Amino acid sequence: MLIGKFVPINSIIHRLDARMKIVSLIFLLVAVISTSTVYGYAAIIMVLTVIIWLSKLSLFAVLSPIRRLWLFFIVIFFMNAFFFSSDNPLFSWWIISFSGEGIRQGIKVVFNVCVVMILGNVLTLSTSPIDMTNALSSLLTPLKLLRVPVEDVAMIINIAIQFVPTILEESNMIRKAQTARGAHFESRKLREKALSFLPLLIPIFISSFRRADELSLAMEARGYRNAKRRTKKAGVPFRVLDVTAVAACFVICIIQIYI
Amino acid sequence: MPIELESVSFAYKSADGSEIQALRDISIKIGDGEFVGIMGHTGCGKTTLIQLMAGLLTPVSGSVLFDGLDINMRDYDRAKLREAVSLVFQFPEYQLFESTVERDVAFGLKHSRQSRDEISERVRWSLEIMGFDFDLIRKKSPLSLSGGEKRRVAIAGALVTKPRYLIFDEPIAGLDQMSRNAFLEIIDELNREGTAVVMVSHNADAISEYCKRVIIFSDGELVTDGAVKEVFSDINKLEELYLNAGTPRTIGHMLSGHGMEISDKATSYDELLFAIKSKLQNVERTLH
Repeated sequence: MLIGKFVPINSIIHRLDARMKIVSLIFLLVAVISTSTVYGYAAIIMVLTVIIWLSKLSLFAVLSPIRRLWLFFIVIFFMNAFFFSSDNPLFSWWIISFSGEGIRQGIKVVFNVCVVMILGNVLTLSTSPIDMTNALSSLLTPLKLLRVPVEDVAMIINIAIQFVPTILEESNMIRKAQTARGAHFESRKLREKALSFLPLLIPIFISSFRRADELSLAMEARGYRNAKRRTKKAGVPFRVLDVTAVAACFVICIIQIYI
Repeated sequence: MPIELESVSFAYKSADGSEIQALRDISIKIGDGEFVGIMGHTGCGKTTLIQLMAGLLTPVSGSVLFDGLDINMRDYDRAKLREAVSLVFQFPEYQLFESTVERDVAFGLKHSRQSRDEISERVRWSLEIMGFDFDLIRKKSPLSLSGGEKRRVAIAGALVTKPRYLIFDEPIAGLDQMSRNAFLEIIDELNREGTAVVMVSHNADAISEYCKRVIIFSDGELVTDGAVKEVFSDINKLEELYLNAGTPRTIGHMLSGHGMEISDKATSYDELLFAIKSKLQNVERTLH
């Protein structure tokens, strides 16, 4: 998994409204991309440090996507370093040209991708899937003008996420049941390996459809109509903390753009 | 050649990394040809126990022996265990997947070295035991059958290896009275022919009527292990565990409690009726 699984702890970042977190993330991404000076980078690193510190998440968890993608970073660094067309290359041969600007460009790209991944990771580590889908549906509301069924999409994502543990548990059960009947799941040959998963996949597939059927009937029985506008049990007001966070991110963004 | 559990403990990992103790220091020996019922409340470790017996889980401590060999040793031949011990999970109807009933039932023999004719014969045998007409059902899709039929097909799939041990997890949950009785009669017949049966069930009536031995669990510990006749005659102790000894015995016990001295050994309604009738006849005789 490239993005982290929600870690339920109590921190300022966790308590922030999910909508505001997503908006803040967008501002910060713009800030990162438009940064070009060393001071700008230093400021970004400071902001990042403060966010991680406030989130009370372990550095290990926050940095884990970067740890797993180190090879990717090396590749994009060298791609930039070797193929950046520059007026005064240190040396050039065929299509390869190695230059100071290229190295700088490489560092910049790697830095940007790292920061983007860390910020995204902090968002998913500190926001529960339900909050996330609610926030997405709320932020995508303008798309309703284009007749995009935003609430339905959010509901679908929500249900899908909620059923992941159930399906995992069930696949575990079916795997055991088929093992008890003599199924082998650990064959070496690729073809056999693929075929050996059929006894697992087909029952899970069938039961997922059965469950979806039952769930839709149960939802309708309790009055769910996708055509009707749905209201929330209680609107979540923005608090001072949320507004401050977004304002801070906005200011950082503006400063980075104009400096 | 028994299944033996020697001071077996098992713990599950919970989401936050802590361990949940499911079974504590269990020692049980189940011999050939026995008919054992396992009772206990939901979450007491019954399902964990039978999964350990079938080698689907590895104990945290202690060992599980089959035919005197530790089934969790690295060089143990699991294929032999799978043939000799069949575990039927709760709601086995959800494990069907093949295109025809015949192929699904034969799945357990896929890795055996038997000829096609032998396999076909075995499949016919197990489907007929479960009350199907082999020629009518063999080409049908298992997914097109009714719930009860699916369950019987799934059980036929467990019988196909001719196991010496048949382990069932809640086999009669959700069955109507007729299917329940038919199922229990089939299992009883197999047991009389020499197959050992282990049945996890909440249904005290079924255990009281069919099992010879009953093992009771509570909170991951073995509370009682003994002959059904003895364990179920101590109704007060069962009540302490919030269990009952089956309806006929319970009625007998209640009647005795209300001054009608009849034996509470009746395991079936027939026996209970007979006991009440003879008691009433005695009363009548003394009145005359």
